[in-house]
Formats: sequence, structure tokens, C-alpha cells
Amino acid sequence: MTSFSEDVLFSNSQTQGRNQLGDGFSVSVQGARHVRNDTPCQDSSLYLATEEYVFCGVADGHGDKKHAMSHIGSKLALDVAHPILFDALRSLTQPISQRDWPTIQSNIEKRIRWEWNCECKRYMGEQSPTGEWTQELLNFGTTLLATCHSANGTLFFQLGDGDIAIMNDAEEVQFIFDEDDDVTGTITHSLCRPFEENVSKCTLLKLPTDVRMVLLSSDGIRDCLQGDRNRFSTILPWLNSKRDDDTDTLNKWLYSISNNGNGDDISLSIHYTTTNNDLSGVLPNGNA
Amino acid sequence: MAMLKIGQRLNTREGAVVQVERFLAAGGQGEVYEVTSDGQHFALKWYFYPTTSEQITQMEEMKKAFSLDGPFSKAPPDSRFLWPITMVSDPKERTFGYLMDLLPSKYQGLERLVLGKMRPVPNFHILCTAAIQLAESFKNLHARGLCYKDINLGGPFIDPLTGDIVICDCDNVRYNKTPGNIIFIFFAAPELIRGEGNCTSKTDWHSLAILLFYMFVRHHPLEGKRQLQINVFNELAQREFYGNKPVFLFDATDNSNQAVKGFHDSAMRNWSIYPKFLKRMFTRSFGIGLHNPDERVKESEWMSSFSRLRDSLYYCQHCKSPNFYDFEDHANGNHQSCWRCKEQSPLPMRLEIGDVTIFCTHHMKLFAHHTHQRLNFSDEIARMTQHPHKPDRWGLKNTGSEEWIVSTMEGKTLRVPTGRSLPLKHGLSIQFGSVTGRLLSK
Repeated sequence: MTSFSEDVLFSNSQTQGRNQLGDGFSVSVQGARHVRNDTPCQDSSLYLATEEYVFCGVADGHGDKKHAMSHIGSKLALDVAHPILFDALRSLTQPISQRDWPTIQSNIEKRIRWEWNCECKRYMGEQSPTGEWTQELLNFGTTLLATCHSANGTLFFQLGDGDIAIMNDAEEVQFIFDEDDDVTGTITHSLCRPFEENVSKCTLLKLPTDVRMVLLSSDGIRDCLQGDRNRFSTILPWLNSKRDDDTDTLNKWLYSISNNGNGDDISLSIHYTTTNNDLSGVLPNGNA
Repeated sequence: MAMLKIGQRLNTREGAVVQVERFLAAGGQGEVYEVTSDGQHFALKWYFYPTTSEQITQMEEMKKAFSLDGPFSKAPPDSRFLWPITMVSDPKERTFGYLMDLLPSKYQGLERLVLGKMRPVPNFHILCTAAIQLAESFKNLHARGLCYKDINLGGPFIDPLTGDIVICDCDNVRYNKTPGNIIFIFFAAPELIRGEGNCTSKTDWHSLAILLFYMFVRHHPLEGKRQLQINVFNELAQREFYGNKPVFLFDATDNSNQAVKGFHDSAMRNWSIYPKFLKRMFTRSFGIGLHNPDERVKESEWMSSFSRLRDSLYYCQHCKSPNFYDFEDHANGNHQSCWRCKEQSPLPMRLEIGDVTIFCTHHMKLFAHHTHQRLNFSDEIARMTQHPHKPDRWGLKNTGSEEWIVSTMEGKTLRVPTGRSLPLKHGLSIQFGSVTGRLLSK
């Protein structure tokens, strides 16, 4: 593979914010392979802090010819996800039984898919689209990892590859969801496919009070680390230690990882908590 | 921490000693243990200590059900219910429990079926058998003036090899209209969700229809397009969609909740493979039956329907997929293609008895229901068998108690006593007692 110097011009996008729940940022960096092929960064990421909530999200557009509009699909995924997740989080205040959760979880995914289908169709020029699945949606293929934090707790959602992890004061890292064991190699679950039961993962947590950092990552970094989840977990304390560095340094570091790895785009979204929620608990489907 | 200790001894209401052997499971209401009493093994359900006034009321109501005039004072209305046998007392009187038979390990819960996790995967013939048995069990329960109140996927268990069923969680069974509804919103009749009236056999009919729809379509009948247009499917939305304004996923006149491509694909595919007569039953259940309990499909109707469905099962000779033949289409001159490979397949020989048509497939069985006693699926009168030396040749074996008299197209008469088989041949007329059947291959 051709090696690129680290001062090569690569594109990146970044959002950041702060509210009473904490602060954070998101970043998507064009992968080295995409720089070389002159293809756009197909990832999108979003960090949004409003008066009531914080939304973190990363979406990994699939990027191959079959998914030629995936850089649009990944952006639309984040656009549609944050109001849906916040609305869900706002409504899910009562205790939820094991019996009710699968229906609520499944509906969150369906809702995101429906709106994403509509937005992709609008992008294609339809005036009043419905969310019915059509073949053309394959063009927009993307994963979606998102969290929404509010005083009610944190809602985590994942469809497709990538990792969502939390780190506490003692720098102990915990992944929110188990790894998929039903997909292998380059195959991933995607928003562009018809809905199937039990494909997405979703959980509502009251984070333990000692949690300091929530990280969402597309599979870009981990793939560059040969897919090793343990190695990947070491980047959380490292990123935390570099918290005060300027963003340019982070972008270059991410690009360097891509350049030394498989050349894929890389997206991160990080939330640093500042609140001391004295709440803890867990609903089905999460590991925390 | 488990409420009871291993080795702990308790007493039944009659004074018999019960010893706790091992913890089995915990649920929403209590814990279940394996216990022994007088050398026999049983399951003991032990309720959690009530902490709220509502739970205390529920427990008092539960105790009443075990009183001498309560539903559990008599033998079960059907042997397939895992019926409470007797109460077990708490020495400190904080709670109580009840004994029931242990569930044999060969049975698996319907939740596993709906999630696609049941192994071995039961075939359609077995599913139809299970559906008939479910309907029959609830028919016998309702005939005693009782209602189950809480029919859902967690209660029934099936043997995936035979279709035999067992119904657990019977402790909520009460006499019709007993106050104190149990509302599992996904299965509850709309009028119960709206707070109108009490549980009866008619509210059970609605829940049974949902259960059967889940078994055969693998989807909730009222979950369609509307659910996709709201952000949170919370209790408020569920009350609206299941109670106040329920609309069937396949409603022919109201498309506001129709199945949507990309979201309900498996439900649409599954629905499409069934004959019209079965679709009419579900359409009635989730059409007029939602608003008029008297119009709901009764257990006997489900029994007849799933028997008819089982009788119409055949296998595509091209791709071997199971298919259900729609005889209404046949009568209209339409020839059916396989739902999977789209090829037209030769049909197996069929036996016509009055208005009933049964395909002679390898697992075909005839019951008294088919000949002289409607809804009797206990007394088998015939089954398909392979020739002992020529396995590609099949015959119809007389497994009933009466001899058959058979007439050939050439005018000959044969006698087929119990235990003997009749080779399948087009045009044979078989006298099953007072009823005549005809074997046809064209």
C-alpha cells in the first residue's frame, strides 16, 4: 500500500458543544485510502448539546459503488436519529419491564428507518415520500451509532459495526453492547436494508456516577487495530489524556491511524460528563 | 436471593409435607421450585411477599381462587392445563404457594417459536396440531364457565416433534366476569384496555386469536404502519393502537395501519401463503371482532379451520416447500403455484369426504372429526403408511375400530379391517361407517 505523509490534505468535519450535562465533540476524518482514490469521506458524526440533552452520533457510510450516496446517507442518519432518540428518552421515564422493552426498542429502530427512508427519498427528489423501503435506498447505505443523554438517563442505539464504550474515573473501560456474532468480514447491518428483528441494539441506562467519558466510534479505528477490542479500549484513556490538545492534532492522529491501518474513514464522538448523577441501573440488552 | 432454602420443608393445606429440592425459575409474581412430596416430584410456585395494598388485594383474591368453591377446587377442565393441585402454606403467613406437575423438558415455550429459536423447528403439520390442541383446551376451560384472563406467548408450551401442548401459568384462571382484570396490553381485548367490563371467555377469544396469528404469521396483528409514525411506542400509544382505535394489519377497507414493505416483509410473506378461508377467520377476529365480542372466532371454529388447513398441506415437487392448497381457487379454475419457487406442482392424491378434502401426504391422519364426530381429534381412524418392503408405495391404514368397505371403479368390493392398509388408487370409494370418502388423483 502506498504510504501518505501525515501533512497530506485530508477532509474532516467536526462538531462540538457544551451544556449542563458535560461537553464533547465529534469528528470524521477522511481515510487515507479515500484520499488516495479521491473519494469523499463517507462517514458522518455529530455532537449536539441543547438545553435539554446531548446527542452523540457516528454513522459509517458503506462507500462502495453499490452504496454511492452513502456519504449523504450517513449524514441523514444522524439528522433523523437525534429528535427520535430524544423524544424516546423523554418519554421513557417510568420503569420498563423486560416484557415491554423489546417492543419499545424495536419501534425506535423502525422509527429511525422510516424517517431515514423518507429523507433519502426527499434527497432523491420525491415531494411527499413515505417510509416504505425501495431498492434505491441501497445507494445510501450506512451504519448508525448514537446516544442521547438527558437528566432521565442515557439512551444508546447501535445498528451495524462500531463500538460504544464508557470509561470511569479509574480509567476502566466497558463496552455497552456485545459484538455482533452474526456478521463476519466486511458485512455489516445497515439502515439501507429492510427491517429485520433483533438486528439493532438499544438500551436505556442511568450511568454510574463515576463515568467520565462516553465514546462512540465507527469501525475505522478498530479495523486499523486488527479488530482487537482490548487494544481499542486503550484509546479511551489516551484520548482523555489528550483532551486539552487542539483538534488539529487529533485529526492528524486519526489520519495517521488510518494511514498505518486499512485506510478507512474514521469517526469519533465523545461526551465528557460533568454531572454527578447518583442514579444507576440497567435495562435489558446492555452490558453496563 | 431465593425465597426458599433447599431442603426446607413446608406443608400443603391438607398437611402433607413438601420438601424444596431446587430452584427452577423466577417470574413477575414469584419463584418456582422443584419439590418432592411423598416420593413424587412437583413444581411449587411461591409468590413474592406482597408489599403494596394492590398486591395484598391480589393475594387475597388468589387465595379465594383456591377456596372450596374456587376454580382450583375441581379437577382441570383439560389435562393439558398445568393445573394448581393444592395450596402450600407459609409458616409465617407472609405469602403462600401452590403445587403443580412439573413441565416435561420436551416442551418449549411459544416465545421461542415466534423468535425463531425453537429446535427442532416444528413443521406446519405440527403447528396446525398445536393450534387445534390450544383451541380445544381453551374450549374445555370456557365450557366450565372459566376464563384464563392472561393468554399470551408465555403460557403455552409445545412439543416441536408432535404438536402436543401444555398450558402453564394457570393461577390467573377465574370464573367469567370475576373482578380484577389482568391486562397484558399486547394481548388484551380492546374493551378491557378501555376499562369496559371484566375478563370473560370472549376476552380470551381475542387473546387466543392474537396467539394463533403470532404462531402462523409471526407478527402482532395490530402493529402496522401507524406504529412507524410515532417516536415512542409507549403505554399511551399502545392503549390507542390496541384499545381505542385498533386496526388490523391486513384490513381490506382501512389501510391506515397496513403492512409496509421493508418493515413487515415476513408478515406479508407469511400471510400470503394461507388459503382464503383462514384469512377470513383472522380478518373477522381483527375486524368486526375487535368491536363486537360476540363476533369473535370461537375455539370450535379455530379447531375446524386448523384441521382444514392441515388437510390442505402438500409439498411442492420442485422445491419441496410446504404449501397450502386453496380449494376455493381450485373451484374458480385457478391453478396454484408454489409460493417459493412459483412453479406449478402436481398435487398429491386427495380424499374427499363430504365437503372436506384431505391431501394424502406422508403425515396425513384421519380422525373421527372427518367422518362422524365433528371436533373429535382424539380418535384416529386412519393414517398414511409405507409398504413394509416397497417404501415408495403408500397406503391408508385403518387405525380405527370399524372395518372399511371399499368399492373400486370396476365395481369390486373389498374389506379393510382394523390394522390393514389400503393401497392408494384413483376412484376408490371407502365406506367409513355411515360416511363415504373418495380417493381422487385428478
